[in-house]
Amino acid sequence: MQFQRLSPCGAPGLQVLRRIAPRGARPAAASLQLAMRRRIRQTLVLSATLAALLLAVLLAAACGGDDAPPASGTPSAERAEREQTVAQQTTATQQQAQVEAEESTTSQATEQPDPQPAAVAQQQQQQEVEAAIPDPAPVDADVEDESQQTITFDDQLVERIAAGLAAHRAGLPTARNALGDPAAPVLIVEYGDFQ
Amino acid sequence: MPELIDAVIRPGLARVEFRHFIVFDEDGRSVYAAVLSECAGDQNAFWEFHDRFSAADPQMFDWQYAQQYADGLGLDVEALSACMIDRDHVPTVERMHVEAWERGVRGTPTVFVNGALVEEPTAANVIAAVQAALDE
Repeated sequence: MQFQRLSPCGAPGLQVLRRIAPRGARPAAASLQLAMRRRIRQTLVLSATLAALLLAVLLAAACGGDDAPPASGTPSAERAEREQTVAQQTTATQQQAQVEAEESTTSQATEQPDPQPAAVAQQQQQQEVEAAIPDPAPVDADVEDESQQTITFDDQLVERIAAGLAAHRAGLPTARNALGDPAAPVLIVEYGDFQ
Repeated sequence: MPELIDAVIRPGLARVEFRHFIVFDEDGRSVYAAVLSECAGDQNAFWEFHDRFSAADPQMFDWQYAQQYADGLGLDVEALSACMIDRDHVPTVERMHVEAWERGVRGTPTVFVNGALVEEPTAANVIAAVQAALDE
């Protein structure tokens, strides 16, 4: 058996009428939201970077044939026509790559019908995602107060019970922990625990 | 307890003795209450404190309130304080607890009638056990 914190003189363990407010709960929730925001930003930046790289690869692949030296004797009109075709293909590829990048980064971001530079698209996506994330909820004063409320008890009920017990006991002989006639033939021993 | 008093205590068939068994004392309240009631018992006020603790009065765990309560009963508050500070009755409570444990007590309330354990110590069962002891 342990007899810890027995002294009644201001021992903190003896006065437990106040609940300890869960102070760490709300700041933890706010910091969690901030961490989520940071994580989403990192994901967006990474995705945009990957999309830009993919675009560059596609452009390089599309223009790779054009980099090769033209065959000797090719007419200039034919070359101009081919360059126009490649330009159209490049534009279409850019559009497709951008749409794919937008879809892969976030479901909340709206599709951009017009081709835009990757940096602008990335910035816009970030703004949209940040707008979609709600700010940490303001501290609710009622909840804060509730956590620090003193535990209430029905003092009238306590008084009634105690008065009832005293009334039943009235007139009976007592000697320390014993109640009743010391000469009574039967001894009742009750083991109890005050909580 | 009221039924027990009316049925067997007041008629003089039996007397009851309360002993402490500390079931759970992580925050020190049980031992505090036990020792405080024993210190009050030094001034023959054990049962007054027993009533308050039995009524689950949380204010009794506030030492200032307990002093006021003792003062209201006309007790010597300085003597009560000295008893608590000196921990006079810690050995008393410890002795009761150890004795109870050796008798097989593992929870509260546990009741013995003339040394015999009463299973499921409701008022009716205890009264029946007293009647049985009287019939022996």
